[in-house]
Amino acid sequence: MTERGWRLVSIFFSALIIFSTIAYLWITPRPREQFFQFYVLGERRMISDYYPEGKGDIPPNTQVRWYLGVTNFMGSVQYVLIRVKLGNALTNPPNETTFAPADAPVVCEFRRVLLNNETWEFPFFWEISDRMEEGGVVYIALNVNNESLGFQELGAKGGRNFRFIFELWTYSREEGDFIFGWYSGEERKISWLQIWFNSTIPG
Amino acid sequence: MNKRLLSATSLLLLCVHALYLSGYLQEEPSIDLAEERLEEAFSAVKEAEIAGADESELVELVNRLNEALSLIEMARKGVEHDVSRSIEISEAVIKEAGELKALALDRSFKLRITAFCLVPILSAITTFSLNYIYEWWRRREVKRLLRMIAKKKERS
Repeated sequence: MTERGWRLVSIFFSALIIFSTIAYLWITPRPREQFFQFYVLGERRMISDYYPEGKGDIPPNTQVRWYLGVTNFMGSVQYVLIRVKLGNALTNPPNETTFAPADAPVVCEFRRVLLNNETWEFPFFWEISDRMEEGGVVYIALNVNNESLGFQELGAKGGRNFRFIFELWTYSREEGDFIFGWYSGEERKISWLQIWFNSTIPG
Repeated sequence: MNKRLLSATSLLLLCVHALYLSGYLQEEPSIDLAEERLEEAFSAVKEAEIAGADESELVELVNRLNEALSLIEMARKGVEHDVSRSIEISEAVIKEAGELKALALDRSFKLRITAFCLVPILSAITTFSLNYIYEWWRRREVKRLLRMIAKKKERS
């Protein structure tokens, strides 16, 4: 082959490699970190004023206004479930190592399908509609978003150190069910929040 | 009399059977079934997304899924709501997501074919362009060199 021939062949293959790389980068979506943003806001939709009168002592029939929010940064459509549980001082919270959810009874659930980059924020207005004491343990009946949920099975000694535990679950097509947290590639992540309060007698 | 009673009973049984087959006497679909359909619809939307469907195409499907979801939530709370309407929505979403997936796959296939054909064509164009530029530059340099040699000879 002549010098000109070799020159043509080498330029052609160099250009082929360059254009193939450009085409591959153009067609293939960039990998990005996949996560959810999960938060609770206070009465004024800020990270403050979580309790009426600034104290975590909640008497019956006092409405507490929070806002729960989830933002989808997973890069795809997601079906999310927020599980609200009622715990006390002895409740085991979610385990970040084993990804086990909290061992507390479920109070209520909220579900939504979210587009990528979509934020879902909704009110979580709750109040203690009734309270009873048995052997020093206080049990409370809850109203959430004007829906009566009745007495909860978990009580707290002296009505102190109740907590709402908010867990973020996502629908897994592989498992055909909701899982606690989500998968970011091969890595499993979880997200949960808790807010403590006490049930007190008015006056 | 007995024959009349027998034929009346047979007729009645036939009517009941026909009504059952027509779905009139069938039970209302359950919330569990509605949830199952919703999950299938969500999976169909995910598949369309993975196939390359645009977000603008998915927005409407997601809104309808959330509508079906709110119907199920109402039914779960005991509010009088038509669970079958939720199932209808989910089934419509499954169908449309399937069509969207097929379109997206077709679009993606055409894009890959275009890229596959364009790469060698662009490479060939680049090769001949660069070669032409090189040869033009080389001729220019040779001419410049010859002019320099000629001038030098004239001076000497």
